[in-house]
Amino acid sequence: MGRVIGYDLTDLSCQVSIGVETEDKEEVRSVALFVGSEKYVIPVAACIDPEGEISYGEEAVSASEKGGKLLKNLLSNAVAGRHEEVNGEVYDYTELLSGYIRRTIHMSSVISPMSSVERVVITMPDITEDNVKAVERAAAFIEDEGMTFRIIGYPESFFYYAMNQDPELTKNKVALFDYDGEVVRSMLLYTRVDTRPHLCMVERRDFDMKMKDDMCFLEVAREVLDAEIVSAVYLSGEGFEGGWLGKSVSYLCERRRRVFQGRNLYTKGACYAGIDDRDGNPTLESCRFFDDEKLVSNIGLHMLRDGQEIYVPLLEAGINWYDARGKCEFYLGEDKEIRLKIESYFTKDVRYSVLRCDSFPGRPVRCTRVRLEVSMKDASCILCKVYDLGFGDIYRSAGDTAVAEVLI
Amino acid sequence: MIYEPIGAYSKNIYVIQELSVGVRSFEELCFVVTERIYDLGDFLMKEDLILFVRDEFALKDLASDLEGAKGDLGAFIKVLLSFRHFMSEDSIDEICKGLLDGGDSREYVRLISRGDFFTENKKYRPAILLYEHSRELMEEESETEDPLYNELLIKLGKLYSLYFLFEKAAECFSLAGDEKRTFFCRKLAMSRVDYVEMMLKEQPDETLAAEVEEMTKEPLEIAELKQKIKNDKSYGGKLATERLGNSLRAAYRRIM
Repeated sequence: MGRVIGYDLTDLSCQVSIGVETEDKEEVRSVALFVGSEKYVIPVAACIDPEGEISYGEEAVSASEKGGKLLKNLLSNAVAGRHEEVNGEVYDYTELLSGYIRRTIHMSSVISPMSSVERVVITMPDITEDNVKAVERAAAFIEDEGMTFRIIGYPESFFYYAMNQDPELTKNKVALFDYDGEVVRSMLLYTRVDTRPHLCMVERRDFDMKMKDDMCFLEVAREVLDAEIVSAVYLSGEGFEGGWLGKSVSYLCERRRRVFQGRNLYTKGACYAGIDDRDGNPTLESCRFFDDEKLVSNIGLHMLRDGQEIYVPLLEAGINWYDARGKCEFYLGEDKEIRLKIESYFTKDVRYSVLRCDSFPGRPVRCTRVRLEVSMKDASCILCKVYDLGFGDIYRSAGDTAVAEVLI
Repeated sequence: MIYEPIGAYSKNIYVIQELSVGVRSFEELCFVVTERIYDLGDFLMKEDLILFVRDEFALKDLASDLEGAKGDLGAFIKVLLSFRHFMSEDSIDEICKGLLDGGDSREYVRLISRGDFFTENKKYRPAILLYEHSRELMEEESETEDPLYNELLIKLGKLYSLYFLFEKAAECFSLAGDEKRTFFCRKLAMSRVDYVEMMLKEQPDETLAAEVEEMTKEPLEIAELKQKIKNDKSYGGKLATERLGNSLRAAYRRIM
């Protein structure tokens, strides 16, 4: 059974964790920056020394003190497609980010050899099309090395983390406060039991808090928790460090709430996600997680098979929009129409969206083979591409393509 | 409504030599069978087609059913077209009607039909071969009185004309009794001297001769072009030549 790596990547820092088998179960451990240390946060930076040698992370910071050129914000620069000229050489930020991810992932080899790693789950705070594409490009080597990888958002990491703790802690809602010193981001994980399977969802709210002030945070906590029955509260982020929490902690511990503080919740959550992907998790079998990044409708097509109308699914509700890929091939009918069925997962409302292929050459019925490829531009927009494949040597493809965007 | 493909789409192509057509999917095979029903013969029921259906289309059931129907073309086609309700029974009966009734199962009719297909697809050489073969068969079977024979000769004549084989074309048109075309082709096939000799000897119908004369005289455009090229040897002259050549070719085809 291969190992799983969880990887929390932001523009400033990253954290790595790995699943390690113990006697009774698989435990997720954060990977320290140096063996024996308790430093887990690695700066997202690269340094190019005068000889052209590139170092990453903490080594990059040290190298920059010896005259190397320090390059920061690798993620945002890669997203913007920027380059940097150092000592006459041009460096592509995507390649630097790729090198950084490779270097930091390989840090886990002190715990387990890289050859035993099966999958990597990367979690990021902001899931946008550009961010996802940049990370996919930079992390393409992971699949080249025979591992699989996927990207999840922070809410999903939180969900996996919470669901892999003591079941007592998820009896009611679970709260998370993440503070970076400027903004407190709260997430409230709750389960809707009126559906089968149950729906696990996250309610997110952001509060500006420029000062590390106990009373201010108490107000924030009250606003989030007062009206809720919460079993566990997690405090995450460096903002909570420094021992400034006082009355707010007392409040958090009220009503038998259990409170935990740490900085590696997201990376561990990502690692749990990978482990659950690999092994399955009985706790999660009866529930399904939805957040803003999830597709909330089932997308498919009706077509004729053996004279009967059948439904062919293309995209299933519950997947992350940036992972959504579907395709199928079929023959067009007389009307040259493709009717996409969109069924809301929550309300079960059904509507159809028609893709027209009028630009394709006129041919007899069932003599135009087409390939439909669907992906998503964001959580509410499906991108459909229909390719004319022709009809063998009888009617050659003209290479036509019909493209349409369908809003859910 | 859209249709789910039946079976796999093959990377390889199965060529039905007798129809000069290749197929890669079950649907393409069915299309060829329905469109070319009158051209079909026992050649369709080859073992390698059945193996192709089994291995390349991944349709084991169909291959086994086709194996069972081998030997009876009608049954073979019915098995194929009815597979997984590809076509309704009524449609299949309609398509197979000609075939099962015997329709026009005469070999030369099939060959002519196949030749027509090639002609439509601008494959004139195999079309000529097929027409010639059918002509031989019709002559062997003394079917020259059949109106189809004359139609065949006209078709052959036209194809020969396209290859500038005017003597052969004239012979075909002559046998078909098309005087005008015969005369036209003969004139094109002859030198001026031979033509004058022929006119003196045969003294053909004056109106027809005048008509053919009109059709074969040097077009005004050619005369103008000759003048233009004489005065101007630039690229514009070449372009004009090409344009004129194209229009003359088109006019020639219209005549034929």
